[in-house]
Amino acid sequence: MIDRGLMSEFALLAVNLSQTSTWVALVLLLLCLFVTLYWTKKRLLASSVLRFILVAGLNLLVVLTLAAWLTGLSLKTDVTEHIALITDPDPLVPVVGFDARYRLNQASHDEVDHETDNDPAGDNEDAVMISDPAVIALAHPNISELSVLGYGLDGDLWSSFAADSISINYQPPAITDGPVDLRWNRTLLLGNALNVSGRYWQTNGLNQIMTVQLLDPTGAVVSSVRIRNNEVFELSTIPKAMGHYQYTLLMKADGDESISKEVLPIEVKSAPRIKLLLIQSAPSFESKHLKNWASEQGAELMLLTTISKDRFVTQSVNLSKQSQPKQSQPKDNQLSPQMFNDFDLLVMDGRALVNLSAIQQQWLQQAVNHGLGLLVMSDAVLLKSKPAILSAFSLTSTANALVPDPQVLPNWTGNNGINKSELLFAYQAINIEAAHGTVLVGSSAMSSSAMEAGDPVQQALSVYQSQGLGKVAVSKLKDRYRWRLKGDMQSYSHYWQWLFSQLARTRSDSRFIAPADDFIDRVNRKSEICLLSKQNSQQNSQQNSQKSGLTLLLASSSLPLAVDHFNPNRQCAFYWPEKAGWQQFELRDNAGKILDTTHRYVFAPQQWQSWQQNKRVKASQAFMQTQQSIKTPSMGNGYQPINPHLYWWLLVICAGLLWLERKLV
Amino acid sequence: MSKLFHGHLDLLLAKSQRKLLFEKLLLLVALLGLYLALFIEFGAVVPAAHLLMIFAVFTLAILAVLVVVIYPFIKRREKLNAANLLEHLNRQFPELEESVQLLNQAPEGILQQLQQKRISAIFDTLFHAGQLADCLPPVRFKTSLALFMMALLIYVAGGTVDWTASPTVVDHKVTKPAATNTLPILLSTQVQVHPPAYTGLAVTQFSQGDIEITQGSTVRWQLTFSDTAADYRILLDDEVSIALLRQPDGSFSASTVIDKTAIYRIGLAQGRDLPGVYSILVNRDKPPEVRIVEPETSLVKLAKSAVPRFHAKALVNDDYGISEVKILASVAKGSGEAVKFRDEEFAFDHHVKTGPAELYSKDWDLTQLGMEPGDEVYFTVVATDNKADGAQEGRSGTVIVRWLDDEEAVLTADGIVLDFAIEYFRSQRQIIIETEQLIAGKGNLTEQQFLAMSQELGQAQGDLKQRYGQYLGDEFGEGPGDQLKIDDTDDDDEQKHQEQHEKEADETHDETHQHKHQHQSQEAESHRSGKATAAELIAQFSHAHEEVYVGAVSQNNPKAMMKKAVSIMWKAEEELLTGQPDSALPYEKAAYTYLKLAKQAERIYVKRLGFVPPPVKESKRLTGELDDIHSYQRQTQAQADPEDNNLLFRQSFTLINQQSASQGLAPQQKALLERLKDRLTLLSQTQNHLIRQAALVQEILLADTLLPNDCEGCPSQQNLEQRGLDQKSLDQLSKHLWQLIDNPVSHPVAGQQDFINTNPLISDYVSEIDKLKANGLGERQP
Repeated sequence: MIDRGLMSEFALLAVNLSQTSTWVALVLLLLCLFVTLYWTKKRLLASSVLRFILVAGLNLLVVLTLAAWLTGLSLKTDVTEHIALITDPDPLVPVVGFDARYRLNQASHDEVDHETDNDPAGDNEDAVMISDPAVIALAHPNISELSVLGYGLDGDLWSSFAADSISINYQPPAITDGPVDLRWNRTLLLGNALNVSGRYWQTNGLNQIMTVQLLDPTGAVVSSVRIRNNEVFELSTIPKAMGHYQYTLLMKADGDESISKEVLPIEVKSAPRIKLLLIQSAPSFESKHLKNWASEQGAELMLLTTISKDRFVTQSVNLSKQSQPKQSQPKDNQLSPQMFNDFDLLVMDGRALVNLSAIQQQWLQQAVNHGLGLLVMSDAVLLKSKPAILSAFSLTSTANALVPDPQVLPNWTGNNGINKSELLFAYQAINIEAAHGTVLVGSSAMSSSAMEAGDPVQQALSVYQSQGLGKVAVSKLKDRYRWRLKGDMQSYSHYWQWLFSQLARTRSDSRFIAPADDFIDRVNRKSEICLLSKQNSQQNSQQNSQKSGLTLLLASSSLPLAVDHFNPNRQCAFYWPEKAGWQQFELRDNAGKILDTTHRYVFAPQQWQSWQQNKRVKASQAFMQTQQSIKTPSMGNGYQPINPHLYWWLLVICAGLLWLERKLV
Repeated sequence: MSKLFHGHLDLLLAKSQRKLLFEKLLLLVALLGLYLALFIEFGAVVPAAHLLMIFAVFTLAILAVLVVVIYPFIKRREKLNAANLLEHLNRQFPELEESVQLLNQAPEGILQQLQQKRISAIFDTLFHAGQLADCLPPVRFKTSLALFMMALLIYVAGGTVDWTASPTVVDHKVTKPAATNTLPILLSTQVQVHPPAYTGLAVTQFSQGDIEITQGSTVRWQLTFSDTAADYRILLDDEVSIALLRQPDGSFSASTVIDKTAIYRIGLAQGRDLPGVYSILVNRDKPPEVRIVEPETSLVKLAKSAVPRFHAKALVNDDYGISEVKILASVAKGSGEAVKFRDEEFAFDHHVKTGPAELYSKDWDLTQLGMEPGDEVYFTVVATDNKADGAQEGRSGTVIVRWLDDEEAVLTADGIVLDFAIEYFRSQRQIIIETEQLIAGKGNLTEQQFLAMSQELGQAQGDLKQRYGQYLGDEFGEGPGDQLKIDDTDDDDEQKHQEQHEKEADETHDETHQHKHQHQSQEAESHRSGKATAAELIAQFSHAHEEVYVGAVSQNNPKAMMKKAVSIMWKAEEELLTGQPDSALPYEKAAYTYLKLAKQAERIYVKRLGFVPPPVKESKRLTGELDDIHSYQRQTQAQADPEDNNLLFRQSFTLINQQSASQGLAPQQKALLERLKDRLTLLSQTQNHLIRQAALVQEILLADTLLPNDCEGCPSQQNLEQRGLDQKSLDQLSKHLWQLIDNPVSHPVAGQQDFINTNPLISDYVSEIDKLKANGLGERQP
């Protein structure tokens, strides 16, 4: 089926030849005219002057007609144009009384046909199909008033619409009942929780109570909540396996009647494993369990333990031969600038940090500036002598004789639905503050110690501060291995993963960037996919991604990548999905090696209708507010293009007369 | 003469035309041969969907060739006329002196007449000598022969060369009909299952391969195949081969006794298997379930003056019937060192059938057992089922009947019987939840409703406080002040119990046994009367999902914690009763926290799991003798646990759901599925429904492909459908795998920021920091 929308746009723009082409055509026309006049003069001037004048005049008229058509000659007029833009066709309401009608192609072709067939009035059928409203302004430079019929446009379409002097009429219809304002994390790491939030929109507020259920890929209910209409809901679950699959959001009215069922596609991925360096001033259960978990899960790590004065145990797990220490009986802790740069994160206790020599502290500072993450497990030693690298932190004692062993319930971002054991942990009696610090782990409101000591209900348990490219964090929580002992590996691993992902050095592997939580790909709508890669920046920010050696493949066809001017590591490509379902993207280097793979789900027009309507209404209303200054339509005094039929008939008549002239001789 | 000449000429012309026709027929046959050879060879390797297209292309091609052949034929036929033939004869025979044409025309002049006469004689001579016929244009058969040879070559080569070896058609090898057509087809399946006689179950029939049977059933297969001449066998669990015996009616049968869940395949005796993997789901015979319904408790006390009789009833249930039910009893008589035990076996007096179970009952008379006040009898009910090979036994719990020596006071000092049966109480957690709901729903309630609900919660809080306070020595109506005193020496029940225990330890040894029973009795009593430990108390009135606690425990006394909780409950109750749930909520939560702490503190016996070294002074640290202490290194590689079910199920789930290409399975994918099949088979011994999934995995392995999500009509799908697999079956497998997977463990990942440090802006920034630091200008924060 031919895309009528695209054809219409092509027709609108076809006459707009380039400037050079126009000039060449005009010169050729002029030459033709001169040659014709010369031969006419030779043929007719001697026999009949009148006939010569007639023929020459007709030729001149033909040339002028063609020139006018080529140059797009317009007539100055005082006109106003009222254009209708139909974003959501209503078969029951004929759109009449407009100078032109455009219809936004937001649906699949099949659906467009279906709707057109059901159009009883038949008046909307001949509306020009467009996929970008920007063409309206090009086709109608005199447009003074635009009536948007339907739910309106998305924010990106409005932003491409040059509407400085246009008055826009917009009266959206009622939004269909259903879930709106949805957010969920499309791409997540294995072990992370899938958090879904949204609300149920109901135009007629009947204060109905309904059940919102989250169903896993096998159709089992994994989370459920009861809400009233227009009330926010939040659901959470932890996907069990890697891959791309669909959860389902099911809404039921009282009486178990299903009122809405929508899919929530997600992709669960893995990420590069961390290279971890653990330094401890004495053996501890904390580092032992941390080492066991990290190494079991494939991390490369080295554990340096001071077992006595100038005696060290060096344990390396999963390390490549290059990274392994050379000495079999190390005489010192073997730290070097290279070592700091080799690892992504350094975890050490306060005493080990204080015991570092001045030069080692300097190396550490430099390594942190260049991206190394540092996590310091606080202890009493830090209060006595704070090393320079923690200069941004303020550490004060909060020891309370009345509460010798305070305990807290740790709370961190993304642990929703994970820390179900609600295990309480002891912590170092230190208050951690940093001027520009960020709290990584806090205590929940159930903190008994906070109530005991009259402290604020919530306190910071781990705080980080950026330093150069790296981050330095101080944590005061103790005995986190108790999660592991209790068998709650989920909380334990998620806690450390959260810290690692926030503090560790970011790998420069090429990878896709996850889409925003509230954006969805839709059929026939422009979508953007972005990736991060250092390859481009190494090649001096070439605009053409071909030179970077990266290829982005969608269903084995290559998509052109454009480099972000502000961040040369970021490259994006646009695509227009034609069918609903999963789409696989592959990122390859110039040797054809796959660097990363991701999957995006394209939604059909009938999916998430109320959410999309709501989004468009919000975007349109926001755009309307910027248009408030234009109250009355301005009278257009632009130029009216001449009807191309006029040129055609002139050419036919002239050519006919000239033919007759030759035949009558 | 002219007539004779024309007769000869016509003969020669006709012969030439016959030769030409023969030549073209040869060419036509050769072309058809080539067409057929090509069609046969390509038709065998091209998918059926493309066969029509290939046929059309070949036909068009052959038509085009025919047109090319026929056109010159017509042209040549036109050229084959008398004038051209005579000209040809002139070329071939010099003795005709280029004058043979004169015979075909009327002579003009005397000279032509003379020459005509002379040439006519020569022509006749040559004709009769047969020389003219011999020199006619020969039949050209080289082209035909070449085409024919080519056709032959293609046909012969097609039989020996594997066209599918070409990379473009490699995917379709599995669907080559020749590969499957040689196997016989299973026309019908009849499976007869004879359950063991003791089950009393009827014989069941199945008309499909997948069957569900009782353990120990005899399974008899009756199968018919398209090829009755071949020998067949059933392969059970890829291990046991059962030969199928040919029956007079042409069918094949085999029978065996099945004891465990298994999968099987049917195949030729020589080794090739027919499509289809079937499962045998075995339901095991469970041992009898025995439950004593009367007495209701495991300890019965009869007062000294009471009638020493009691009634015992036991409910016995088994899936296939009970063979014997008996009572094993031990009578303990006497006390101290004089205690004597006597084991006896009793039968029930009578039994009645109640639904699926049977109710056995017996009246006991303690005097008939020779018992006296102070004696005890312990009894257990043992039921044996009727399983033929090794009867199974089921036992009830033990009931202790104690004929008390002294009367026990069950009344309080006030003469009021305290009923310690658990009443309905809201737990502290429940009160918190309801308070939060009340606060959230404040806007929807009238002031009176809000106050009433708040007061109701206050009442609930008061009840709970009283209940705890009651066991902590709290007085009804007492204020919060007293509970704040942390006094470990008060006369609480636990303390008293301990003291009594110590006193009893000093008493004579012959009372040990009696003491033991008293102790047990007191414990059981305390359970029933609610005088339990702090944790048990809390467990009664709270949800039990947070109680497991292992690790370091605070030094706080649990009793003190509970008292603190009760004192905070006072405040919460007060706020709730005055209609201020907002103010009550922090107190409720605080009380809840202390209850939890008390619970954790109670588990003092599990605390020393990790060694927490005492603090060491830095000045003393690391100052010992170091001669025997050496530094060392250890390098290891973590290995994935091959027995990790979670990893296996997770990887298999991903494979089954993400397979998007139609190629065959890679070797590592096959290995993964093999492991999955083995694991599912193993698990099916306890979860027998998993055998169907194991059979499905085996099917996938045999099909050597997975159904692609987006593939309709592709060869792999046809192959799967031949084996009776479809997307629904795979969805079922996915569902089972998903349910088998535990919650995942997060991975230790590197940083997740959306930028890369090689960004020139970022690199410049870091260089600037380094410069500043080198110049001693201090640190800048980003």
